[in-house]
Amino acid sequence: MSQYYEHYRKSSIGLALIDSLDELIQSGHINPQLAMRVLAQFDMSIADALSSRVRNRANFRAHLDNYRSLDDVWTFVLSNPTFRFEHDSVTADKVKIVACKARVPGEA
Amino acid sequence: MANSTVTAVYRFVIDDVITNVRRDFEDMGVDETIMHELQRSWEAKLAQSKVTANQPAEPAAAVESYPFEEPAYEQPTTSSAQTSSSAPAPAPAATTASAPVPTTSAAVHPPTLPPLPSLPLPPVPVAPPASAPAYNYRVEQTPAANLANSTTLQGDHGSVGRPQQYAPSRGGISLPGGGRNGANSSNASNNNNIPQHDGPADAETVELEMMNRQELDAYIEKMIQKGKEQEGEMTFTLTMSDRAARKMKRDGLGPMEGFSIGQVDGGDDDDNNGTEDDTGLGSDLDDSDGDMDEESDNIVLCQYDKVSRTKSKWKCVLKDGIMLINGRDYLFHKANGDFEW
Repeated sequence: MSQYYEHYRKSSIGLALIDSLDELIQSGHINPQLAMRVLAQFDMSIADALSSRVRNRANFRAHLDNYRSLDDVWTFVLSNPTFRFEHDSVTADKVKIVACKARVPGEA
Repeated sequence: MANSTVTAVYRFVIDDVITNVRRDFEDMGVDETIMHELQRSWEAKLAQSKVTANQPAEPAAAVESYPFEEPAYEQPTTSSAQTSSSAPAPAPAATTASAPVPTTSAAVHPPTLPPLPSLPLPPVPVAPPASAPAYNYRVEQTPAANLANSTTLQGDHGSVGRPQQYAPSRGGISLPGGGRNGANSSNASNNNNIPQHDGPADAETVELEMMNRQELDAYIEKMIQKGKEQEGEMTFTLTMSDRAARKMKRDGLGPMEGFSIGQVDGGDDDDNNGTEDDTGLGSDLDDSDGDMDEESDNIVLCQYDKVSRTKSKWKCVLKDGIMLINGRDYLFHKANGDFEW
């Protein structure tokens, strides 16, 4: 049934939404079912936005500390990654990548 | 710059979600104002997280006044740049404390949305009710003064600037104070024979985490000593390792024993065992997973098209990613990664 990945909920914008929904549930303004509907809608919206509205390309190099592939989800733990975008680059000391198998939004 | 699209994309996502859940709110019989409150809160939290900060297109002032706030919720594709530059967004009439936006703009623009009811969120910190008289405060300014007897100030309090800092404890009134006030009321209750039921002060709790073992022991001794001297009931809760609790018990709660007895039975084996026992996962194989699940500030959420490996060289093709790196968000449509294991 679930045609959209839910892992984008862990992004900044997703966590902000979850926080807001939590507060509304705590204060009794909405029930958890409605919150789940909103999150399901968020899954759809963010997937659509990322696939249709983002055109940036990136390259990155890193040392691979750890990796795991489980149920079509790859997890990489990288150290000293360098991300290069078109006009700037970013470095960090550690980064974790959670990648689900690619699929067209909305298709199972 | 990859980051410049982040705001626009987030703007789209928020509008798209709000537009599409309108029906769900109606079906559930939830008022539309709640939906707008959700949007407001969502945007505020996102702005607070500052993941889209430091963008040339996004002046700092616009962030403060919530660039995501839009008068017309029905337009999902309005770019935020227009919003922030064209006009100040009308702030909701009932602005909560977390939104210190000047609400005058609401009067300038006749709001197209109904004024939000005064929702009780986020919680607004309030000063303790001024039921207690404004004299006979027991005021302590510094943590060091906690050790000494509390100072009793009578009469003139004109110089006291922030009355909510002080917990009025007088007569039968015993308020659970925050910060130093808790310690203060603890001392005060010593003098007035008012039992303290609300545990040690918050400030001391913070201090506890920075104490070493001897200081902790001394603190416990002090509390116990105080409990003996004090009539009535005293409770205090320590949320630290149960090793300390066992040590207390082992030491028989003697006033000075905790100080004088060193630990002669080796290292902190209790802690190590305890940690493993607590997780309920005793297998050595779990060790490797520790790195994977370790929470990192930097995270990339994406999908993969291809992951391949040749010897220790990894190549992967990723798409549709949200990256949080060093506190800022980046988006990518496609990304190629080369790793060396």
